[in-house]
Amino acid sequence: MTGSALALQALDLTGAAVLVLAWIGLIHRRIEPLVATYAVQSAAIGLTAGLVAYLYDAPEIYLLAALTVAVNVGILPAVLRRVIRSLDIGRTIDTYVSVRRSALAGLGLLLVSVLVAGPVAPYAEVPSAGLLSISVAVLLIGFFLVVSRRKAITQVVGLLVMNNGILLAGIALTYGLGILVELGLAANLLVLAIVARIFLSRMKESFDHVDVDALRTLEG
Amino acid sequence: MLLVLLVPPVGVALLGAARTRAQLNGVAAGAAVLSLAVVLLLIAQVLGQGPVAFASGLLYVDALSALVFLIVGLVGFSALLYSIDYMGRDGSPHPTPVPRLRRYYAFVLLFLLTMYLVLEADNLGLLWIALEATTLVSALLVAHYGTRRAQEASWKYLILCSAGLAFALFGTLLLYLASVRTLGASASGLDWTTLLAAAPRLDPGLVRLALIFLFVGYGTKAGLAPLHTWLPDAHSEAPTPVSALLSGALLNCAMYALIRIDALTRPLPGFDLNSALFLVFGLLSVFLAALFLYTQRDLKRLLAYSSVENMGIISLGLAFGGAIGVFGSLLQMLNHATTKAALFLLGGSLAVAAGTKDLEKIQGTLAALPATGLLLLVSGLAIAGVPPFSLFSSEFLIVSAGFSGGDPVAATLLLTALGLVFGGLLIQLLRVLLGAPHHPFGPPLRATVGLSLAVGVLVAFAVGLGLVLPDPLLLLLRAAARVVTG
Repeated sequence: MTGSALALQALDLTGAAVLVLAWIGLIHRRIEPLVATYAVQSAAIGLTAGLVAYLYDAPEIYLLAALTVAVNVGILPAVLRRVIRSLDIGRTIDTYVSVRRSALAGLGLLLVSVLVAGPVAPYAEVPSAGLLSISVAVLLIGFFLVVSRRKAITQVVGLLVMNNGILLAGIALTYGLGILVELGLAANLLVLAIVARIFLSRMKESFDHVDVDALRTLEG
Repeated sequence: MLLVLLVPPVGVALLGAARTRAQLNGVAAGAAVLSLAVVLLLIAQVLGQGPVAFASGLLYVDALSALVFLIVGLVGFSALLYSIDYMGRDGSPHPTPVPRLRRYYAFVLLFLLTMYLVLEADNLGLLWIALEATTLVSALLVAHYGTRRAQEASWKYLILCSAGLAFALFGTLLLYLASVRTLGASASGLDWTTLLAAAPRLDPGLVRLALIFLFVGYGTKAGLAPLHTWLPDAHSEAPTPVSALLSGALLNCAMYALIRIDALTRPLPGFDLNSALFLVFGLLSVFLAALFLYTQRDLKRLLAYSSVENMGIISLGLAFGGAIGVFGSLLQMLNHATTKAALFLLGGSLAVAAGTKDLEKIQGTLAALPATGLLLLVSGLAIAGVPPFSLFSSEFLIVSAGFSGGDPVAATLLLTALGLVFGGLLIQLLRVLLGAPHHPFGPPLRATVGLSLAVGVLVAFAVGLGLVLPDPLLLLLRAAARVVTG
């Protein structure tokens, strides 16, 4: 087996890992393991980027892989953990949708992704045909986390998972644009992090706990 | 076109140097007048010599962007001037300490800057970045009062719109993939102008998938149902001038992004997913908002739901398509923006006088405050779609485009919804204007020159455009409609 054939198989494996890790994110009942899962998922995406770089002999994608590992595996989870500790946010994940139903919904979203993106995938100039469906699924699962979880910090993790879906698509589909996507996302995340930090601490002051359950009072 | 982008940063720099309240207000007034002036200059340039491009396709302004520039320019002008009387002075109803006032003005200017950038972007990646930036800046403005409700509303806005925009970024990526496949990898592959030229050759399957994500994403930001839930909260908790900006300017910037995407997909042979999406989101928004109008107790939430309804009407005009439907939608954008901004500002004055935003408690305005009451009556009738005011004419165009364009079912549904809206708004309006006063009104906002100008310009549009469409505006609207229909 040649090196590139091996790399192609490894790519299938990392892609599947990214997907499974997104789903695992739905079944956590505590925040810290969720953050850890996000970090591992990001590492799998970094690995995917490395493999794509090897397959296409594209040095700029190696850089992308390194950036992903540094930012999404190193910096962001560390920041999240510090926020959790310093603001003394409760450790449990409060949900609008039970964990059991979330897990089922995750499978449903995967099905939707395959149905929606499947017909397009065979044409795509991608090393691995499944990657488009996987990135759609990760995007949808991230969105589900945002809208089905109560605490502000969990919603932020949901957004980060969504961004991982976009990043995966950027790496897999439009290698070459990947670095631009990453820089755009990184800049976006940075600003978002600053804004979110301000909010979380202010919310802490006025709510006593960072729980956006009260958001419901504004509905209707 | 660069001049337009220059005014806000210069304003922010001057705000940094300003020491006193009067100086800050002076900078705000200057920025209001100057930015409207350069926007009008840009529009004149586009009308005179056609589309303007800069930096090899990075920035591009045509008649469509010029039209939305007019909207953002007008609402921005009024909101800034109004802010001075509303919160800038010592005796203002919402007196703000100097450092916070400086920050407030600076954020408003940055908010304007990000919206200008949305309208000038040719590259769809840049367009996305600019829209995301509008979210971040305006979320901080929504939280300005720092109350618990304001922070909750702001957080909900930030999270929901960021999540929505993540979908839009994904759609943008797919669009780039479609572009790469047809044109090969190139730096200009995401430029709207490049994509439009290549549109008939793009892979319809990929464009279809991209379109769904772009619609959900930018639709969230435009306040289209079912992802509109952030809108009533953000609009009602923000300071009143910011509510006017959100409703009048920002929603239209997001709608503008949708229209750009729509225009890209129209040349694809046999492609009708764009109309279908506009139709579904449009009908859902119109009906949902119409029903919610009846149950609102808060003045600003009432206006916010009416904005959801109007975004729905604009979507339906685009769904019906044809020259008339598109023209109607673009006119509706201008009509709604000016009328709604006027209503928010007038509502702000009213809430100051009444000491509450509670619709049950504000009654008998016409007797107690004849001037504000009369303006409110006129603008309120306009937003309810009563002839001869402005929104009637554009809604009439959209409905007739539906009947003549082969979708009489949707057109009938729209008429039904408009009837519901008319009833809901009128019931609320009549009670506010004529009902027996619950408790005495305090003094309203003092009608300074700036305040009169701010409200006067908007009301003039709300009333005037129903009676006469001046030639330059007609030219601009026609040219903008041609950008969409090709």
